Amino acid sequence: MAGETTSHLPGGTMSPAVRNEAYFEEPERRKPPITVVGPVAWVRANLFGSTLDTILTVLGAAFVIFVVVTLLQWSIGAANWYTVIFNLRLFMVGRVEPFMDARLATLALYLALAVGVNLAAWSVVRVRVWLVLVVGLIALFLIPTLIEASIPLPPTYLGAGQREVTTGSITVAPQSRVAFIGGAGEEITITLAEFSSEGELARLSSFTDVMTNTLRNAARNRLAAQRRLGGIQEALAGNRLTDRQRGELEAELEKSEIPPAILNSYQVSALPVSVTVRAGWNGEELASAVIGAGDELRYALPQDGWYVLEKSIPASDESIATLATRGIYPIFDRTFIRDDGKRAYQYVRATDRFLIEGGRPREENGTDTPMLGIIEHQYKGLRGPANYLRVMLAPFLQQVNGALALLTALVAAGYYSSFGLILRGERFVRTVRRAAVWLWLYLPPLSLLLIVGGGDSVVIVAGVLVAVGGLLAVWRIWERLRMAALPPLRRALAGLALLLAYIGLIVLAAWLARALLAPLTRSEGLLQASDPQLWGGFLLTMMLTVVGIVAAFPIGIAMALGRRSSLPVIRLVSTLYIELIRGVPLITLLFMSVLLVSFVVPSLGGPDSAPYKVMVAVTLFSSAYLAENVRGGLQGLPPGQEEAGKAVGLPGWRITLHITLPQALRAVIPAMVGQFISLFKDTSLVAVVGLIDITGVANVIAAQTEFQGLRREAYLFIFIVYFIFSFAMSLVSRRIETSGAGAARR
Amino acid sequence: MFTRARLSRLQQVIARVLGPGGAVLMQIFRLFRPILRPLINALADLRVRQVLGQLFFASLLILFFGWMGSTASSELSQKGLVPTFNFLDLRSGFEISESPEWYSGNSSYGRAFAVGMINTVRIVILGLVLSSILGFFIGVFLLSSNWLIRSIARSYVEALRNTPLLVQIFVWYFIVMFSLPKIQQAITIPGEGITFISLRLALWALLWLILWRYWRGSGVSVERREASQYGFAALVITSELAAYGYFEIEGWPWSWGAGFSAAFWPFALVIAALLGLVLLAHFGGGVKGWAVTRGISGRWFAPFWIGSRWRLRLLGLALGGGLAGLIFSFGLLPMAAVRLELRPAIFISIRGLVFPALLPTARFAAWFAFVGLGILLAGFIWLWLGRRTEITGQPYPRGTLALLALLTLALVGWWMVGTAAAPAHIVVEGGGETVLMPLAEAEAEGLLGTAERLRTSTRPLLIQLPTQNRFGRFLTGVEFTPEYMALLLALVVYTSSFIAEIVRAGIQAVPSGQLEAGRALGLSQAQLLARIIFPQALRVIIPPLGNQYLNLSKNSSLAISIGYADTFNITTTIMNQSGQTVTGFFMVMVFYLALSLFISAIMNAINDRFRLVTR
Repeated sequence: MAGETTSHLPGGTMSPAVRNEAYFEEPERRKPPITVVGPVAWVRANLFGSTLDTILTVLGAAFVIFVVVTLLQWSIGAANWYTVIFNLRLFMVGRVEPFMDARLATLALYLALAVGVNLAAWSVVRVRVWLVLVVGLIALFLIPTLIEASIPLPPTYLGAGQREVTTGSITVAPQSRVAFIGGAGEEITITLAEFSSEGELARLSSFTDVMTNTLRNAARNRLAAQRRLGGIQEALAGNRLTDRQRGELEAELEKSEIPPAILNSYQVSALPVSVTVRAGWNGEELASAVIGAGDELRYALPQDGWYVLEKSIPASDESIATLATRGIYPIFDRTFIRDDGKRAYQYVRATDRFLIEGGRPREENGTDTPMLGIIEHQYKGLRGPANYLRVMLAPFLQQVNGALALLTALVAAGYYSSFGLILRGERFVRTVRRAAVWLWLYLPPLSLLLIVGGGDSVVIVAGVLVAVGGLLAVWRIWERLRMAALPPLRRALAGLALLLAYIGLIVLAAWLARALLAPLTRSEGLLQASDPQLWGGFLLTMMLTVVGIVAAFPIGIAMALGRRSSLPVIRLVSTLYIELIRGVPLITLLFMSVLLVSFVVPSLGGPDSAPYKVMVAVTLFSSAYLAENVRGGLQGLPPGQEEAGKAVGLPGWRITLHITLPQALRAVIPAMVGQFISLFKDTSLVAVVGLIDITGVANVIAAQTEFQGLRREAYLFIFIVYFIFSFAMSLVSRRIETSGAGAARR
Repeated sequence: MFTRARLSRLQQVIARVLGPGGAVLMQIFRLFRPILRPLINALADLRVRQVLGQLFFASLLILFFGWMGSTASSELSQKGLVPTFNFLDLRSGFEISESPEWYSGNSSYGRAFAVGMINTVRIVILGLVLSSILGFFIGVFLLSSNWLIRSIARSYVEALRNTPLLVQIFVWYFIVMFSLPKIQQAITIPGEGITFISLRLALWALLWLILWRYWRGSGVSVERREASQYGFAALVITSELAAYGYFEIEGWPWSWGAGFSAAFWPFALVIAALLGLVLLAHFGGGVKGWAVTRGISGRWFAPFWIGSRWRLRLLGLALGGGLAGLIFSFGLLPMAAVRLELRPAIFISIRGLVFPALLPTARFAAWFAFVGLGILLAGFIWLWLGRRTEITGQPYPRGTLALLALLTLALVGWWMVGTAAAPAHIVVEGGGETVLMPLAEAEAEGLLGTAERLRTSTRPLLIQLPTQNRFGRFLTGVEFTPEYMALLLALVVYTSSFIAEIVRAGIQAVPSGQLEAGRALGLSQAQLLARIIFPQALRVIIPPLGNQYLNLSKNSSLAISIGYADTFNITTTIMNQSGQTVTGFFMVMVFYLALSLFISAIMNAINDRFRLVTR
C-alpha cells in the first residue's frame, strides 16, 4: 500500500505541492510506530521511562529474581515438605478426637454451601472463573497421577558391612537388619550402588540411612576441606590480606589436613553383599542373594505386611557397601486410640501413604527390629525438580485434592441452585438473599453443636433458638398491645404475663432438649462432647475470630451508644471501657484472662477452660475496637436524620434503633471487615499463652522427633494460609466499599 | 365506702378475685396515696428517671466489681498473695540479658521493671523512626510510574499486612537470626582486608564534574548532551575494561597497553563499525533517496533507531571508545591506587549486631557549650531572616545560613577544646601494681581502659570500634541482641506496610490541580514535593499515622514470644516469682496506657500544627 502510493510520484523527492495534492486523495495509512503502541511502547513507558527508572527497573528485577530463585531453590531442593504433609490434620483442626472428623467435615461443607449461596445472592461469578476452577481441580487430580506414572521414585540407599564410618565427631555402624513395610505384589529390587568418584557420592540425593549419609558427609567434608585449602592458598598468594588475617590463615593452613580419599579408605561397594529378605510375621526366608557389581535381586512381595532386610559383607571387615533399593521406603509411625480405647501403632510409608497397623517384627531378644523410620532415613541431599515432584508434591496433592474438589463442588452447587432460582424472576432475588443471610445465622448454633457437642451445647442451642424466636414473637405481640391503647396498669400486667410466658417457654425448651436430645450426646453418641483442650490449628483460629466478632457485636454497639449518650455515668463507663482496652496490648488481656480469671471464678482454673477464657479476652478486645468503628459510623451521619426522627415524635431509643443505628452499621461495614481481618491475624497471639492454634502448630512441629527444629516449611505454609484468607476478605471489603453498600438505604 | 362505679376496671378484677379482702387492700393503698403521688409525679420527669437509672446502673457496676474483688481477694489471701506494692523493694534474683550496668540479679523488682520500661521505650522509639522512613519510601514506590517497582511495593504491602505479626516475628527470629553465622565467622562491614582504590576513579569523577557543568550549561541541545554522555560512558567503560583485562586476568587475549598488539584489531573493528554506522546514518538519506527512485522501499535504509539522535549518540560512543583506546595505548592512564587497610566496624552474627560506640569524653561538656551557642545562633538567624522575608518579601537562604552558623561554631569549638594538652603522665594499674607512666607509653602498651581514655582524650567525642576478647565476646561497642534485632525488624517491616498505604492515600488525596499550579509556577520537582505535595499530604497522613504508632508501641509487647526483655516480659517473670499477679497487671496496664497517652498527645500536637486553619 505504502509502495503503491509512493511509486507513482514523480522523482525521489516529495515537494510540498505534491503532498498537498496527495492530501485530497486517500490519506496514506501507516501503522503507528512500535514505540507508541504495543508491548514495546508499554515497556518503554512503564519500565524504562527515564534514567532513574531504568536503574530502578534493573535493581528491582535483580531483587525479584534473587528472591524468587532463592525461594524456589530452597523449596524444591532442600525443604522437607513432609512437615506439612504429615501434619496437615494438626494444622487444620489440631488434635481433636477422630469422631470429630465427620462433624467438622459437615461444618466445612455447610460453609462451602453458604458461600456458594451468598455468592449468587450478592454478586455474579463469571463462567470463566468456574472454568478456571474446574481446570485447576482436574489438574489437581491429573498432575499427581501423571507425576507418578512418569517419574520413578528415587532409590533408598542402605549401608551394609561391619566397619564404622566416621566424619567429624560422628561415628556410625551400618545396620545388619532393618524392617520395612510393603504391599502384596509390590516388587522390590536391590542393587549395589557404585560411585565412580567422590563428587558423585557427595552429590547423592535420596532417602539414605544414617551410615550412607555419614559416608556422603565424609565425602562432602573432604571436598569442602580441599576447596577451603585452595581458597587459603589463593588468598595468601594475593595482596589483599591484612597482617592479622595472613597470620590466621597461615595458622589454619598448618593445622588443616585433608583426610584420605573416602572411596578408597572405606573400599566402598568393592565386595559383594549378601542380602536376605525375610517375612516379618514369622521370620521365614523369602529371598536371598549375593549381590556384586551389576547384580540385582528382584522379589515380588507376597502380601501386605512387614518384611525384614538382612545385609552383610561376609568376605571382609574392612569394606563397606551401599545398596540402592527400590520399593523400600521410609516409614512414619504414629499412635492412635483404637475403638476399644487401647493405644495402637500405625505405620505409614512416606512416599505413598501405604498403611500398616501394628505387627512390627521383633528380634530374638524381644526388642523391636530397627525400622526403616523416617527419623533415620530422611531425604538427604539437594533434590532435583523431578524428585521434588515425585517425593513431595505428588503426595501433597493426593492428600488435598479430594477435599478441595468436594468443597468447590458444594460452592458451585450452592451458587447454581440459587442462581437458577434468581433467573426465574426478580422476586426470587429477595428470597435468595434472605436465605443467604439465614445460612449465616444458622452457622453459630450449628458450629456450637458440631464443634463443642455434648448435652450442654444442645440445651444452649435449643434455649437460644427458642429465646430468639420467642423474642421476635413477644415483640410483635407487644407492639399490638401498644397499639390497642390499653389503660396503663392493664398494659403492665399484660407485659408481665408475656415476660413470664417467654421465660417459661425458654425453660421448657431447655428442659425438653435436656430430656429428649441429650441422650444423643452420651459418650459414643452422635453429638459426643469434644475436649476443648484438643481444639487447635486453623479450626481454633477461625473459632476465636468468629466468636470474637459475633460476641463482640452487641457489646460494641452498646458501648458505642453509651459513649455518645448524654448521661454522664454511662458515657464515663463506656469511655473508660473502650479506652482502657484499646490502650493495652491484646497479649496482656490474654495473659490476664489466663492468669487472673481463676482468682475471680475459682471453678475456671482448669486447663480445659483455656479456650473459653481466651475467647472472653478476644471478645472484650474486639468489642472496644468495634465500638469505635460504630461510633465513627454514628458520628458520620448527618444530624438531620436524628432531628427528623425527633420531629416525627419518636422516642430516643426508637430513633437509635430504626434510624441512626442501621445507617451507621451499613456505613462501617468495610471498617468492620478490616477489624475482622485484623482480629483473624491477632488470634495468632494465643500461641503465646500456650494454645495450639495454627501458629502454635509450627512450634509443636519443631519439637516433633521426625522434624526436629524444622520451622521454615511450617511458617511458609502458615504464611500462605493466613495470606489467602486475609487477602480474600480484604478483596470482599473493597468490593463492598466500591459497590456503595455504605451509602444510605435506597 | 366506695361505689362500684368509682372502681377502676383493675380494682374490679382484684375485687372479684380477692373478694372483700381485695377491697381492704385497695383501701390501704389509698391511705398511702398522699405519699406516693409526689413520688410518681417525680418519676414522670425524664431527668429524674435518668438520674435514678444511672444510679441504679452505677450501683450494679459497683456490686459486680465488689463481688469480683471480694472473691478475688479471699482467693488471694488464702494463698497469701494479697496485692501490695511492697514487693517492689525485694531482691529480684534474675538476670536480664539486656540491661544497663546498674541492674543485676541483686537489684530490686522495681529496678527490673524499670529496665523493662527502658527496653520497651528503646525499641518503640527506634521502631517508630525506622518504620516511618521505610513506610514513606514504600508509599512513594506504590505510586511510582515504574510498573516493576510499583508491583514490588504492592506485593510487599499485601504480603506483610495480610499475615500476622507474630508469625513474622517468629520468621525473623527463628529463621533469619538463627541462620546468621557464628561469631567467629561474623559478617563484618566493611570486610576486613586491604582494598585498593584506583586513582582512575578520581580522574573519572573529575571528568564527570567538568562534563556536568557543561551539560547543565545553557544552550547545549539535548542531542549533544546525550552524545557527550554516551561518549563519557564509553570512555570510562572501555578504559576500565582494558585496565581490568590487562592487570587482573592472566592469559587475557586482549593484552592491551603494550602498544600495537593483536588486541588492537578487534578494538579498531568495533570503533570502525560505530563510525561506519554514523557515516551511513549521515549519508544514508542520499542513498535512500537514490534507492527509492528505483522502486526499493525506503524503510530498508532507515531502521527506526537511525534518527539524528542516534547518529549523535553513536558518534559519541565511537569518539569516547576511540579516545579510551588511544589513552590506554599510550600508557596515559594512571594505574596507581590508594592502599586502604580496612578494619571491621560492624559485626553481624548469630549473637546479634555490634557497632561502634560514640562516647562523650571529659571535654564533651565544653564542646557542647559551643554547640549550644551554635544552636541558639542558628535559631536566631532562622527566625530573624524568616521575619525579614515576611516584611520585605526578599527571599533569604535562611536554612543554609543557620546550618552554616551551627557548623562553624561546632568546628571552632572542636578545635578550641582540642588545643589544651592532654596530661603527660597517667596512673595505671599494670601487673598488679599502680604506676605513674607517660601517657603515650601507656597507650602503646594497651593499658588504657575505656574510662582512662575518656578522661585523657583531647577530643570531645570518642569513637570506639568493637573489640573482641579471645572467646569472641565483645569488650567495647554497642551490642544489639538477636532478640532485639528480630523484634525491631519485624515491627518496622510490619508497621511500614501500613504506613506505606497511609502515605499513598495521603499523596493521592492532594488534588491534581495543586500540582499543575505548582508546575505552572515553574517549581522544580523537588520544590513541588517539598512545598506543595507533602504539606498537604501530611494533613491527611498524620491522624492514621498516629494510630499506627500506637499499634507499634502496643505490638512491642510481643517481645515475650521470643524472649526480649521488655516491660511485659519482665513483668510476667516478676509475677511468676513474687506471685503478685494483680499488681503486676496493674503496673503493665498503667505503663501501656501512659505510653499510648504520651504518643497520642504528641501526635495531636503535631496534628494541630499541620491542621488546615479555617475560619
